[in-house]
Amino acid sequence: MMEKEKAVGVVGAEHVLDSPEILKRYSCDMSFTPSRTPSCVVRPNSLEHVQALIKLAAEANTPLIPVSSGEPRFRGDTVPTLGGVIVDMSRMNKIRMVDRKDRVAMVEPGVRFGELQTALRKEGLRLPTPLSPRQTKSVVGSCLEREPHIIPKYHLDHSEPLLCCEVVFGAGDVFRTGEAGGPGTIEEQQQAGRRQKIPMEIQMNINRILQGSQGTLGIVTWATVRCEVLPTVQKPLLAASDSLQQLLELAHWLVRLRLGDELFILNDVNFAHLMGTKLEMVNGLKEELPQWILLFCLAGYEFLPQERMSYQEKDASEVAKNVGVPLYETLCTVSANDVLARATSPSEPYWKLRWSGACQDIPFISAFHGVPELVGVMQEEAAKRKFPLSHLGIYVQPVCQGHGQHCEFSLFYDPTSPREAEKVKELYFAASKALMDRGAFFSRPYDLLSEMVYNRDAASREALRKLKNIFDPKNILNPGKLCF
Amino acid sequence: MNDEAYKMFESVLGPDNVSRDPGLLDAYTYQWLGEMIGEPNRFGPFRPACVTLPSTTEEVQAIVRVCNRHGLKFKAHSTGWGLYANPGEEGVVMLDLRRMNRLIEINEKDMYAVVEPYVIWAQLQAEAMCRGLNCVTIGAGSCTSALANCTSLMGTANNNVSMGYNERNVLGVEWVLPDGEIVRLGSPGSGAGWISGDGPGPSLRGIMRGTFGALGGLGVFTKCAVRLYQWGGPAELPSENIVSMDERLLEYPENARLFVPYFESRVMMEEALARIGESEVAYSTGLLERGLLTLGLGVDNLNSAEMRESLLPTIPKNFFTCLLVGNSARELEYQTRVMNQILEQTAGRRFEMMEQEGFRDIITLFLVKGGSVPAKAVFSPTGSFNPLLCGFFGTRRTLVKGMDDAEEIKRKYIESGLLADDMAEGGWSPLIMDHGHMEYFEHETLFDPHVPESTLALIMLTIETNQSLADKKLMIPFASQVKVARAQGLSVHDSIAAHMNCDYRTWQRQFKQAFDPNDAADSCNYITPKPKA
Repeated sequence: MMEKEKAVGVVGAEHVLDSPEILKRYSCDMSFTPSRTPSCVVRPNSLEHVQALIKLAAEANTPLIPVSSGEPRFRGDTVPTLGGVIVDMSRMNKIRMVDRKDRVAMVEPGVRFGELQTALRKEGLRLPTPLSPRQTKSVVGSCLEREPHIIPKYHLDHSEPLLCCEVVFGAGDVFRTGEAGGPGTIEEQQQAGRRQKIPMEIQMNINRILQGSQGTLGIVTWATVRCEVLPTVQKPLLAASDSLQQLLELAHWLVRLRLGDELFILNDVNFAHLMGTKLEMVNGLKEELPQWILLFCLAGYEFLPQERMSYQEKDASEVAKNVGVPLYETLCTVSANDVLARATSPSEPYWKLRWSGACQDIPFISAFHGVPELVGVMQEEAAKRKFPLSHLGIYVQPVCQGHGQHCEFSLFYDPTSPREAEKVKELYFAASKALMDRGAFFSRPYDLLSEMVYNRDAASREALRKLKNIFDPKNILNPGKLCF
Repeated sequence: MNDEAYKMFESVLGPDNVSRDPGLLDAYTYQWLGEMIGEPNRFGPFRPACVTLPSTTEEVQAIVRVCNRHGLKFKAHSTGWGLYANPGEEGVVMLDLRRMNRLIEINEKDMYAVVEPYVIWAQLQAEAMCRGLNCVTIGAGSCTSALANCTSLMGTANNNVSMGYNERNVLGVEWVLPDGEIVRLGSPGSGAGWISGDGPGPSLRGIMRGTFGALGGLGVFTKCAVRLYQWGGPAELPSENIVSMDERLLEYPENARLFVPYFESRVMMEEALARIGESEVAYSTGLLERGLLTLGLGVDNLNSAEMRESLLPTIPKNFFTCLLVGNSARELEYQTRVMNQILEQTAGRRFEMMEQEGFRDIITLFLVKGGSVPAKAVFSPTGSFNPLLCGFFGTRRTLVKGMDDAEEIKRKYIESGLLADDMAEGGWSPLIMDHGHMEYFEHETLFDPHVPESTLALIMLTIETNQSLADKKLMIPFASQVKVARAQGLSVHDSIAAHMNCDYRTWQRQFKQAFDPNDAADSCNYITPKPKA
């Protein structure tokens, strides 16, 4: 095990933490991942710190668990499986560059969505964000998790909005992905006018390998992210229906025709949890709302913004009419403007915890036609275990410009009730298996589901193990996760 | 070649689908730019050991396994375009994938098509357009393999502006690895359809390709899902006088409009392009610089020269083409007004001759159906061409630098008389991708493959241009560099890595070692498992 003194020698005594209270906070999260107490928490502040820590860990065969986001954490990916040292990246929180002309920002792992959005807004830019991320969520962490954002037309690929990054592999080497790798140093590139925007290397794309790796291959010390122009005008609208199929059809055409920017579908439960300001309101909304709600937002940019809004609204209205769904500016006293504001801002307290205390998510990717069936599978599994549908949140997000749907089921429950927690845990496993059996693709297999997922794809598992052996031959980075 | 291995190929494929007839084998060495590494007659230096014609993934797997067992190298060949497709050494077994030509599925709601290697863009596009969809048909032409492009090559096209570069236009992939194992990237590996190529966990697409693919150096791709996008035009675009300068659309699409603006300077042209990108109004954009445009217009070189003399004075230097396609009349009207405003702001003027019926129809077809570099213009004057800056990806502050640099250096070589005189204005490119988030430029250069000094001049020009870009800390265009490296018998990555801030070869080489333990896949355009001496 890495000696504490050696870590102190790298980052300073004040940044090596091992009090029981601190260690407890890193030993578990909101998921069902078994807790395990790390030996200490180190807080590096530079590339050199990270390099030195990886070197020490390799020498001492000590697991390192990189963590970027603050609490509460949900996925089990930062809970040590075998003990070891937590590498908390939150001190590396500089926004290194915002460039309006190239629509790009360079950020360290500790930068959170709220801070970055504020900095971007000053330059007339924005970063497409996941649905109301928690305030403590790291931008880099979110990119590395392939967390989808809510503007499908800017979700060019599952790798969005990550561009380039600097990473220290478990093998100890520093690597800069995409065009950041050269020619020249980063400073020389920037002097030449380059802004680290091309995400691919020549014949490989290391970003894609790092994304979804849950900190098992390398530790990222900065990343560039693709930004977009801040709209000058916006008009959000809501559509509602008791038929998911109807709203999926509407979403398909809006995304396909690139009408609107933000677009997502929530069921009544998620919508109430996101928008409720008091418990009575949450319960009231659950009762009054149609079963499914879609938000989309029209926008105008620098050129003829009102004209853009006008044609988009007319075209979108025609699409909605063809699908047979009316559009609203307000639904059950909730205005579309408020929904947009909530959806695009970090939430504190996190909206998934505000009314229930705990939440277990089941995220996966589906084809268009699979979504209603998979929702049915989830509801059946919930019913079998007497889990109330009033506690089942559903989020459907068109991704990759309409080439697929991200689905996320949220099981809201009371964590103080061991019985309820046990029931949710059982449902989580049973439903995940049933969903996989019916065609759901678990592209981001977190913790306890990993084995189930990789047992379905042994060829990928073997290939990934070869990669792990290349990038982290001593298996010091977050061992025990995925198929490693 | 090894008789035992040959018999095994015959037993897998049947004797009709294997051949070692020398005449037939030579066809696989004959490639555009073969002259850069072989004879002026375009035949490359290496004849394959045999050619196999598999028709299924299982047959591909069996061939690859036989190659591994008998120490044979192999290389896949779909439609083949350029010296990348040639065998890189003696004794290579070619897998000609022409029997794998099935368009397996078109999923309209998720907007993708699942294709085998020999489905060409034109075939895919015809099926897609019937369904109100379109694909990113590449600059190499509509007769090239969609799968080969998405998995193994590049992906530059005029409609990259609205539909992106083809690295990101692939979803699920089926891949026979160099050791014969089959891996299905993303959702197909989990039996969950073709909807995603990433995961579970880290994405193996990261070893499949980057800006470029492995060009045959990492196995054989047997199926993939290619992304399609909304097409707001008619299901067909019938025309008359096909493949001539007189080609005319029988009816111009009512929701399309062509703009051909020109500018005082490249800087202003780039500024206009950036604004077009940010406003998200363009469906397709293209550059065809006047030097290249006017080289091969006539029926022969004399006629071309006459046409050039009369046309050239009327063509401005800095112009590009931009096609707007609205999904409604209202959208087209909005796009038109934005374009006019952008041109006003950037002092852009309309090149009316190109916007009128005639040129308009050809350019529109070029921009919708996948505008290859006009084959006649680049092949007929001298017999061959090669792009400089092939793979030069830029951004706002670097595109013009690359364009200016190439022009300046090329002028010297044109003065030597060894290359065709295109006034050093031979640019072809989509210019912007992903609504301006990436920019791209390449510069076609016509040379005479029958004159060794001309081929040498091309090589020297490419080397000098790439060195200049590297000195300026701009991107080194790989597709240009790989050809000159092969011409010199060098490792392309050794010639690039010296300019980089970290040695990417370490990782790429380890991929090769891990996934191709017997070094069976021909690595002439990829990386060798061990450094070259």
